[in-house]
Amino acid sequence: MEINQLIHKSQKGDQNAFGKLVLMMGDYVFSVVFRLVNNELEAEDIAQNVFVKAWQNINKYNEAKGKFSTWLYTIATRIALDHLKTNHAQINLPNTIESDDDIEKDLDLKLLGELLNTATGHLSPQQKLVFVLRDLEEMDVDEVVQITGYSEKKIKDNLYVARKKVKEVLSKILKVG
Amino acid sequence: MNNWEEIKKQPRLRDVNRFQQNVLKAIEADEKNHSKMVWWRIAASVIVLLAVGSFTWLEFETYTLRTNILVLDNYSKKAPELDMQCQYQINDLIESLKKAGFIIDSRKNAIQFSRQDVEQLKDNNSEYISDIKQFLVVVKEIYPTKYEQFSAGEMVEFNAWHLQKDSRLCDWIR
Repeated sequence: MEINQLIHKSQKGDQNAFGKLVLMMGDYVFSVVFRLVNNELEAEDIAQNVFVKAWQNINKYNEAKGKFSTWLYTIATRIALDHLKTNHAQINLPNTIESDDDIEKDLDLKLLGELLNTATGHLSPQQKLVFVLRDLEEMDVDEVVQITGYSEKKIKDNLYVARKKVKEVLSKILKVG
Repeated sequence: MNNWEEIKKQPRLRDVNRFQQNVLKAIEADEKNHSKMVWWRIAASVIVLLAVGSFTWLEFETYTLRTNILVLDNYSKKAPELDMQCQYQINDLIESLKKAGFIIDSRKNAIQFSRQDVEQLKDNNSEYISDIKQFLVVVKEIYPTKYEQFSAGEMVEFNAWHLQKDSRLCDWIR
């Protein structure tokens, strides 16, 4: 079934259709949230809240104003940012993430992932948000503008600082290593 | 695919089906909670309305009572002092009216009756009928407008406090 049909059905109160949307979008929402909070359990909880919030406000979603995924990311980033603002001092390393690849490759990737998370953990919530959306989720600037509500200039400034900080942190860690 | 691409693809839900079930359960719990909240809000609104209503009613009643007392106070200041004998007679008369069942509001001391009520007391050979007849004579002489209303079969109302302070009653009761 097409995503638009599922959205229309959900807007009419069809929970099954919304459940299918959760299956389709769950990973994407989790991914963004996880990148922002760096903790799998918290990310799953937040992602769950994102979908509950989305269900409560599904009638406010207007197809003409933008993509459903953008709307969903907007909710996700707001909730995750609120979470970050209240837990800013905490820099978490990620819990283990399942992978089907062989153990060695898996360990390398985990290490790299952890390094990246450690690096992004040094960013402010705004810098982190912009960095995750632009560089990790590879969204275009317009979409980031729509999701965050920031101006293009603010996005560019935050992204510049974020990239610089990540680079600095990573090179420090790698030198020490 | 290089490592960077792999890292970017890394964060995924452990079990998307379980996640879906959790979301649907959370939605269900939220909706139940929401409907409970709606009922609580309705109940709270009703309680607030009742409280505000009672307070307003109490305020209004207090205002009415205060106005009555002020009127009475002004009246008693103007009215000449009644002698004790007269006072007793008026009180006896009011007592008879009360016993005949004419006091409708004991707090405001309002006496209310109609021609029909008096006729009914006559028919029942009430022991208070002579006092009531005497009172009607007083009414006719002192409160002619009220007597006209009474004659026309309308309900008439007197304030017992006013009657107690009206010295004109003494001349007619004697």
